[in-house]
Amino acid sequence: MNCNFCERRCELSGDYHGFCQMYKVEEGRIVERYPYRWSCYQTSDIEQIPFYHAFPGSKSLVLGTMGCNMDCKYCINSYVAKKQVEESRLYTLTPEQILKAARISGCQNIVFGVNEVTVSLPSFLEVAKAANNQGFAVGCLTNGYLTEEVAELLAEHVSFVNLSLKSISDQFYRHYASIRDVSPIIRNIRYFAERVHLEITTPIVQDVNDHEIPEIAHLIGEIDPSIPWHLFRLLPEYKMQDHQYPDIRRIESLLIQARQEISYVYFSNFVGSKWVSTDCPLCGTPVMKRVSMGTCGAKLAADMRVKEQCLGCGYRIPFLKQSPSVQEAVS
Amino acid sequence: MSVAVIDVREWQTTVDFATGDVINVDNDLVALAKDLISRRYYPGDVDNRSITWVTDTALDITKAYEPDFLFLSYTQPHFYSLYQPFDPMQWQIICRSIFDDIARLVNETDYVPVVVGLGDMIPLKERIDLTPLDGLGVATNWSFHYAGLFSPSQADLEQLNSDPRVERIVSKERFSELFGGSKEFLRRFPDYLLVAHEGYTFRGFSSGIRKIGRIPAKNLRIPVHTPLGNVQRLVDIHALIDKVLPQQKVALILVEGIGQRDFQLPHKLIDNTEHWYIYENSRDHYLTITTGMHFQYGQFPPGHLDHDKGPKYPYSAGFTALPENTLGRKKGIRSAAVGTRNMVTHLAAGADICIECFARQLYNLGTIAIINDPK
Repeated sequence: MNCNFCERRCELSGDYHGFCQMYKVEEGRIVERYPYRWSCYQTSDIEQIPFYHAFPGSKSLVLGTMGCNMDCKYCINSYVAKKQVEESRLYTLTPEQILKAARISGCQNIVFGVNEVTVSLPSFLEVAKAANNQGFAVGCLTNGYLTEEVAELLAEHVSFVNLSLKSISDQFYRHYASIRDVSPIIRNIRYFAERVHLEITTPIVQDVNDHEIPEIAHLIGEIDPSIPWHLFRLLPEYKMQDHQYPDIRRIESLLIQARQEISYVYFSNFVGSKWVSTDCPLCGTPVMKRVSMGTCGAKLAADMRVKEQCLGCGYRIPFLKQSPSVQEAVS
Repeated sequence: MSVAVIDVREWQTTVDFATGDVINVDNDLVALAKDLISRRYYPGDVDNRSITWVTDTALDITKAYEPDFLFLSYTQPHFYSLYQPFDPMQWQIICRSIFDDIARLVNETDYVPVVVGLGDMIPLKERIDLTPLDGLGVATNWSFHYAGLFSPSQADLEQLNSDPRVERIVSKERFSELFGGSKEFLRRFPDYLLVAHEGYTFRGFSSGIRKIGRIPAKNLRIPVHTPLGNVQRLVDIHALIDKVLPQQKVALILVEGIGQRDFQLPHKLIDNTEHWYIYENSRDHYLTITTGMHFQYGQFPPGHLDHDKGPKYPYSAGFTALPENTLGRKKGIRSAAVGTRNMVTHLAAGADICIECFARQLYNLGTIAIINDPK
């Protein structure tokens, strides 16, 4: 029986639980092997995840499980994404327990991060449904290698997505991520861009995909130039841990060009990056000041908008926000 | 204004340490920091070479700046024990490297050493799962035998009271009466502090994902080597050093992950407790040693929940002000610090110049040098 959660469409059988290790066939249906089991639940500033244009300054409850449907040679989360799943390392938490934790810890939204959402989709969707009912916004990180059906399902229940577009080359994805081609990912970017708040992240691997920066910028700009694009200075681990680190100055020079096509270009995962704040794309006035903490995102230091508008020219920069009634319901 | 120089390999920036804003500043200490950290890449938290990184960087600083007080922290034994499969041969190599390096530093300089082993590590017996509780059990990476409990039900408290792995449950009010603490520390204090018996640790909200193998023991007493004089308690170390500075040059050297069992220098054992509270590697452990006061300068209790949202001191683990009364802030002396305990090194040392790794969850993000406000 073929799994239809991701584009691998693994043929599951008694002992084979798919590339991601997370599904099985039971009574003629594909079900999770570890429903409602999580590897972590913790708080994070939303900018750290990263989402820079969704609910700025809010606190997120971040969920993760184990496993992944890709095998990126440079993976920085391989200790959770690529390890044999150990049940003892997973918590059991119902959606209601997760939402209670969110309430007590003062989180305003729920985000599936850490590993790939597709590998634990049914449980996450249950959390998302319950969260939406109780006024929490829900988002996720994904590598985008989802089937069309799953992309639709996800878009029904999440309002913000950060999709990792690692390359636009099939060759890259085959060699470095162990999937056949990039086309389903680009298809899903187009789909999400029309239906949810979308941000895109590209991990930069020195001398592997850095030359693609102009082409990726062009593709994103063609889809929607207001999509925030995060470039991630990847410090490779897993099978490429001795690979050199990306050259910041060279990437910065490429990003200056990229800003011609995309309004919001960010570059992080190094401490002190000056590429994590938002300036008005029309007049250049600083709008959101963030400080790069070295990990993937940043910390919000100041929101300089007045009535959600640029102080310099009045332009309303797109930021996903919670309606006051929802905020009230959550708090 | 305190200044930070950040080096992430082949790229540096200089920022206002309080705000994170990029600034253009140049003076002798900033120039020294820029040069030093561009030459010395941090090897990584579990890499044995991080031991020599501390010593070599410290020797560079002593030559260039000649501080009266030097603060060093070696953490590789802690991170190795915590995250790596334990290999007795490798452990012997680590212990020998640490003490060889301390000897090298002492031999090549004229500092009187005060070497403190912050405590042995022992195999983890079991993790106490707090997730089934009605309330929220918070178990962070910053503490092992301690966790926070928020909004518990009566049933939670009864269950925890009857759990043989749980040593005690202490309410916020009781803790405050007994220990006091800074305003921020008590504001963030959980409704209840949970204390595990030795070898057990909690897991729950905010627990790390990485698998852990060893945790700090309940080190009632820890070893101190120094020719400066006798100390009985953790809080005495501050006074012992304070009274001889600057007549004598002193190097306070903290070694995480090593206690009485593996300490390779002549030593006395000192009290590592306050009432029933046993210190384990943490911000509070460091701050108690360098300020000579229990809990008065820490801002984050074990099992805390509150994330700091303030924009001030973005590279100081959520602290909104740098602790005063640390040895490095003593007037009339020059001070320097080098350490592999990210953020805690500069908070605890308060030195004129502090160099520390910038690492999170074993990710090696580079090095940061902080040049503090003049005293």
